[in-house]
Amino acid sequence: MTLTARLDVDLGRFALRDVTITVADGETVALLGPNGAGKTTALRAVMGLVDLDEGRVVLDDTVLDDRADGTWVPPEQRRIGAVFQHGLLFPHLTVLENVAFGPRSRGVGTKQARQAAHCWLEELDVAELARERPRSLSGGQAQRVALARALATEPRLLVLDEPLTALDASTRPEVRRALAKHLDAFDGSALVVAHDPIEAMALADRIIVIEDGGVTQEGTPTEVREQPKTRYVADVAGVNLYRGEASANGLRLANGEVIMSTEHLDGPAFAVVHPKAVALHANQPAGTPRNVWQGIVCHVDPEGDRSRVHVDAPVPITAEITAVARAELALAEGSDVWVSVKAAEVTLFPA
Amino acid sequence: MTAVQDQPATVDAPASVEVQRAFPPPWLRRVGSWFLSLYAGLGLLYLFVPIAVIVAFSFNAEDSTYNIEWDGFTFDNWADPFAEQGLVDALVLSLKIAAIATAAAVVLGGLVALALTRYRFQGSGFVNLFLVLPLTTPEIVLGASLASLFIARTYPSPVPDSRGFDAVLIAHIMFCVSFVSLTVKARLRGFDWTLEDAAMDLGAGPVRTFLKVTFPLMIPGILAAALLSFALSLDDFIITLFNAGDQTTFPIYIYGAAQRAIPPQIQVLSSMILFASVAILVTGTLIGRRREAAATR
Repeated sequence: MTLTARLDVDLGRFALRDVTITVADGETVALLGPNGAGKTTALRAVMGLVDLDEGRVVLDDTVLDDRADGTWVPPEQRRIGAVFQHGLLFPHLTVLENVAFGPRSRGVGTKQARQAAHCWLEELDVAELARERPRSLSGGQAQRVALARALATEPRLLVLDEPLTALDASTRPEVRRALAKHLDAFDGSALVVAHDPIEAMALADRIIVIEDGGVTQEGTPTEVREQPKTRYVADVAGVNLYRGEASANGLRLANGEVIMSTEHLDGPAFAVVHPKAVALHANQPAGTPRNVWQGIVCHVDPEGDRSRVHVDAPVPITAEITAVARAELALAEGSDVWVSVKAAEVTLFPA
Repeated sequence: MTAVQDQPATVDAPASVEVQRAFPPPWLRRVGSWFLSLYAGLGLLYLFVPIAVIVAFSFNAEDSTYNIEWDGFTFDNWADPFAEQGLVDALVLSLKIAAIATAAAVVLGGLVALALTRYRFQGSGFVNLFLVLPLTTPEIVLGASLASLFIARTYPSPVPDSRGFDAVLIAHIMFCVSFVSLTVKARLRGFDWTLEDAAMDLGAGPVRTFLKVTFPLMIPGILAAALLSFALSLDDFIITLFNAGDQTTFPIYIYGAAQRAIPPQIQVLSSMILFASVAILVTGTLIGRRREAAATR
């Protein structure tokens, strides 16, 4: 069960350009990107709910959509099971009827469909909710029922559109675990849309980053986290990212500043600096660090017992320091500060 | 002598949360709320006194032609509500017209509302405009224009006039379609159309999606529109009078009767209609509440 899709969609105010999505058999792929980047549109195009302007969607050996020869399979015949952002359960049907809706629509008899629905509800530990109406369910329960409803159609591809976004923070981890478990158990392929990186990293084998209607990066969660290729991905991974021209001296940025590294590359490259590797000083540091800049603190975000300090230096940088260090340096917005980064802490990789 | 150390600025105490507003003073507020209750009470009284009079006079032991003087309490009128044969015939005719007009208007108006909310198409703005026209055009103009239309329709055949049951029905369907589509449209405004996507994704074709998902979710709006349309048709006088020909509907009968006499049966039947609509409203509200309670259990 593999999906290959190349999507070009023009919605006027917004367009997807040459977005290629492949999902291998049994693989879970996440589409990660900021709000409004086009993740959901891509998903809807795969489902047949948005018309392609150009492109081709193939699931296994079946061509679902091909603008070149005009092939188009309507959404109801695509065998794609979807879990929508807010669950999108039918409010006028009970939980059991919701789950039985798919099998019933595919011509299964009432009794059999209800039995199948019951099995799936048991599978997802929500069998006791069978007679409830969707309005009386909590967000987490609704998403489990929505997953049961999607799985009950025995889909060849499972798509999930930000399945955790509508949940409150306290139920999210629990539902995320349940989702991860069932996605592993599901032997078909799955495509998850996420704007929360934790969601994407926890659920997916591979991540496709979509920004502003196009794919900007693709790789395993580890690759994406350690080698971000855009500002968005770097922010999401919580690291400092710089792009420039690498040479024996280090990485030269567009503004002329040079970041030293113990690694050596030639040509266009990225440098990544983890905020924890950035040291802050009240006075010019003496000693070995090769990268030293003077700057001004833009703002300070406390996060638990640590703080992220954004410094406006010739090379803008974010440092993560302990509360003790912060108190010692008496940091506040507008304070003067010295920044140092050891050359060994600068990772380079080609752009 | 040591230099005076810079003291950190003392943190301002948070501003008192309970702010005593100087105006209005408590006594004025009490007077204000008392006055508001009085005002609301008078408003409700103004609305309900005429209705109360109708119900009261349905129990009047009248002994004059006009049922306008209180002559004592009796159940006689209620025991014999169908004493006036003409009145009963008129009521039956009106109920018949209202039922057929509502049925037709619900189908037509419901589809119009669905099309206008679901799709954007060439000319949808004009359709919207034309829907409002029957509501804003004075009834007297509509009635007179329709009458000339129905008379002209049969000209120059030997029958000079095609007004009557069909004409009234067509006229009622016309303005009921407007009311139904506007009511249903208002109810559909918050409709989550992605539910249709979900249905299709689960394998339901367009017809099944409409029958199992869209239509069931439209029912409350359609019922509200049907009740409104039924009431409007039952009670329409001006347009009906112009186009009724030899037909006598309930409002026309009452108007005619009032020229000569007002039999208490008019109040009895009116009260019955009133009680019936109150009963429908109460049942509707109760069912809604029970559903609400079941949902939030």
